[in-house]
Amino acid sequence: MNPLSLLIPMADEVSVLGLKINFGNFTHAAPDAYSLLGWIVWLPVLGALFNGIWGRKLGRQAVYIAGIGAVATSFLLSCVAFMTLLKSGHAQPAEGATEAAGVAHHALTFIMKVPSVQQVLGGLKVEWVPWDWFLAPTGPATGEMIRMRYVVDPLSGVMLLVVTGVGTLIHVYSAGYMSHDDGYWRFFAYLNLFIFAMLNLILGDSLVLLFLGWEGVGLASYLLIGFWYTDNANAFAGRKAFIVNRIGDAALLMGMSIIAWKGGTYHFEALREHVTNRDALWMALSERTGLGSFVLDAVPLLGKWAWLGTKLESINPSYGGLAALLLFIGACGKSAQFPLYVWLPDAMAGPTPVSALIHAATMVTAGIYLLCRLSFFYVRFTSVLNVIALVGAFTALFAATIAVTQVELKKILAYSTVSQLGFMFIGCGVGAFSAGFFHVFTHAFFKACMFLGAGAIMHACGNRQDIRQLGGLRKYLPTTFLTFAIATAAIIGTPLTSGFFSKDEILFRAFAHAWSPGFGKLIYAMGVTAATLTSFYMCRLFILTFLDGDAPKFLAEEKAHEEDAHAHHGHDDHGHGPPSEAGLDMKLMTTPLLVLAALALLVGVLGLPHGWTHHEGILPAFQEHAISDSFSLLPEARVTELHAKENVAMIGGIFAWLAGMGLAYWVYVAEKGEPARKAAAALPGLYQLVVDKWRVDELYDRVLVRPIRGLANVVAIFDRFFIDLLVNLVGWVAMLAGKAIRPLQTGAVQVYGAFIGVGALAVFAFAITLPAAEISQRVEGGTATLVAGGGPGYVYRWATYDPDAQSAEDTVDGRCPEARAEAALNPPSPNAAAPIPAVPFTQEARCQEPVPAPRCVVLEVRNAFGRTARTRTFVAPGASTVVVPAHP
Amino acid sequence: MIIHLGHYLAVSAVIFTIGAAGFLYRRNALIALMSIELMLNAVNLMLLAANRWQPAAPDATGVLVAAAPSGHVFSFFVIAVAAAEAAVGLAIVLSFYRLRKTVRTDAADMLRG
Repeated sequence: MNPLSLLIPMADEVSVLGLKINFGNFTHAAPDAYSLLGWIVWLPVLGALFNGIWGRKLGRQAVYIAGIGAVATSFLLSCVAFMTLLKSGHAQPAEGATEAAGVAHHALTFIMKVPSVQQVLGGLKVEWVPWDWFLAPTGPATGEMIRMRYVVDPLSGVMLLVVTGVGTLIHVYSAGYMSHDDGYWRFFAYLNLFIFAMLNLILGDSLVLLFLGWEGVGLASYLLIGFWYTDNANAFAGRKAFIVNRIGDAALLMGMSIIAWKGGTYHFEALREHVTNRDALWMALSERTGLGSFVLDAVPLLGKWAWLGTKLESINPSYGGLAALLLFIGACGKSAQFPLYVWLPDAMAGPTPVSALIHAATMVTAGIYLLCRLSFFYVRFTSVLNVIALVGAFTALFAATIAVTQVELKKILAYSTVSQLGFMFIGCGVGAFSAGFFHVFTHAFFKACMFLGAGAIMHACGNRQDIRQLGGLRKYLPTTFLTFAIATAAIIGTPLTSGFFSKDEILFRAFAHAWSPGFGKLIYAMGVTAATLTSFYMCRLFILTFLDGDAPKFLAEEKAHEEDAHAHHGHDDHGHGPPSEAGLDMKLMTTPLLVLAALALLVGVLGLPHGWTHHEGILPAFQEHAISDSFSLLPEARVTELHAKENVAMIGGIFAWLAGMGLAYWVYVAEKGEPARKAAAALPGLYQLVVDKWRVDELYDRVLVRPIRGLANVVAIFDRFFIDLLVNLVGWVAMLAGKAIRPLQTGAVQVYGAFIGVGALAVFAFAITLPAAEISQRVEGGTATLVAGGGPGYVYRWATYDPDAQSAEDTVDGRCPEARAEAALNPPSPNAAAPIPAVPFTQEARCQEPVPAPRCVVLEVRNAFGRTARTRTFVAPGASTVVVPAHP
Repeated sequence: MIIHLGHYLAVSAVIFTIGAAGFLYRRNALIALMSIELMLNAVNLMLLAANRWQPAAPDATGVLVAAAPSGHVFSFFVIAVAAAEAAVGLAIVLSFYRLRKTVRTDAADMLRG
């Protein structure tokens, strides 16, 4: 008996106030109608709206409850959805399900204590399809309907739990962090908005929905980085993040368009079918673009650089490869890889929970998520994967070197994030997408833990970030110390922590590269170097913050200040008194730390290496069908051969851990930082360069920002003197018209009376004069069309005999059936003022029958005042119009 | 010569025109009011004349009877309305005099734009 079934009804659907919620039975979920997913995604939006609109009025408690409640409920519902995912699916058990899947299955059954699963883990998904959004074009004349369809499959399911789970913890943390801030309601609204956008990104079933979420998280990031916008530096940092992201977004849009244009679809599942079945659309994607060929014309002009021209000309990616590359550039923008990483360190200007949630755990992992989503696509393009691996390795190394010299707590963590993201891209780039994802998973926990710990430190130490002013905090902030220690141990790759397993898997896959061993070794070497540096600077951070000395250095300074001048009050942005973990806000902040540290320690068990268990890890096995892996494209023997290298590769990881830790210990504990100071003094130029972040920002400023500003100034002239001129012109015209008409308003009653008279005369003139009655004729074939001249308010009547004829013989018989019928009904009498029969009251009259003999048609026109005029015309075969003047 | 309807209508038109011109051109508000009365009287004249020359028509039994005196009746209405309007108009002129100390209509330009 499943205890959870007591909590959740066994019915498929529940009706709450008329809204249907489809929970899905535990034995199956109605595949298209699992509306629980809709609640998961849209609850945070409701929370955001609530907090944004009424938050300020309702006070702290209401805002905290609404904000935390929305995300926490989303998390609980995500757990339900995940368990439903485990239990249900539409695929049949996969043929020859691997043993790994069996182990994973057993493990999951053990952990979750749910009744035995019928199906196996292949092809699992549950989905929700609420409405059609819009028709996205996939070609000049074709389009695809994008629906708001959310799909939970093993990849998005795990990510869903991470996002909502870590999101909930950070919301709780924020309640403590924002306890002294006046803009708390805005903060929670933006956080909820972020969760909503991220969920759209993860759960969307098409590139379009992913892009919606992509942009949404970019927006939320901008809003949250510039949260304290009254300080310009924060606003500029937010702006920088958004603009650099935008560059990536442009590339993403281009890649998306190419896929839609050549591949015919935006949806992941459809694309996967095309790629797996290698059908016509796949062929279209594999066509060469001929991109380099336009260089061909320029080659003769290049003179001695002709070799470069021929080299460029040979670059001929396929459409799919080009799209893959462009999507990767988009991922670089979002996930802060070189050269689009410059926004992430500046983003530390935002509140620390923002840094933890967005710039560590969730938003920056969106790029890797995209790659994993499209892993089935990327494994076909090994050259693009090589580029990804190289960029990732370079970024990992580059950011690690910068982190070594930084002194601000959050900046070090920011560069560490960039570096770790580089690792994840290495994982994706060598074809081990699930390894890269596993690193996303573990990194979320330990990095968020570290960022939150940094926030706790800053909150307790009066917003101080400089690690040179801290030290010995282990005595003052014990919980923070413990959790930070665990998280640090994880990131540097201490054996048996989660970070060890994930990093090790990536390094192994780089070492045992599936298609390019030499290149793989290079990546491996770069990765190990970066890991060593990671270990070094993280230990440096830890030592200088928590271990160095017995009390923070700023406390000693503060005491000195107080002793110097009693009347001198401290700076107002620093706290008073020694740091401590007492107080509700600190409690709210340390509890998530404990949860995250526990997770950082324990989740490694989900990805135990193949070399130890002789099975694939639990998480990779679970995601077997959702994420492709380059190993699956290789023959079995080769895979075994590569797996044999695993233990060798592990040596590198362990070496990195020990070397970095040892070096940090020697420099900062044994020698009290002397070697660092000596090295800095010995190479001042290099040291300054690294401290200045290799001056990449300055380079961008010179090369990009200043020219664009110049251009903007030029364009501004156009705007000021042309556009503004047009707008002002409209205003001037209105003013002049007013000036011209104003004299009419004399205020003299008799003048007004005169106008009344004139106006009345005009109207009466219309009532007195006769309307103009004209007929024009068109003869086409056998049909004559008569058109009456129009006028305001005219009503027309046509007749085929003339009632004013003096004798019956003057009446011309109409050959049209209606007219003949009318003539039969109302025979014309010569004396009586017979009314004209009601032949159509239209401006055009048409007679369909051929006209052998001249026939008379009479038109009577009546204006709005009842004045009528009549005119006659003859209809003759081929004859021109004969207009008889109107009969008065 | 026999006086026809046309003569009456012509006289009426002339009087109406004189009244209209007087209303539009005279600066004295009281004279303007008198011109209005003149216009109304012209209309009365035309109504009565039209009624006088309306032909007799056979009624239901076939006997020729004179036309209904609708013109006369309408004329009564016009006289009554003219009287009321004269009273109200004079009241307005009086208030206006109290305000502006003159009866010249071109002093009523407070609504000038």
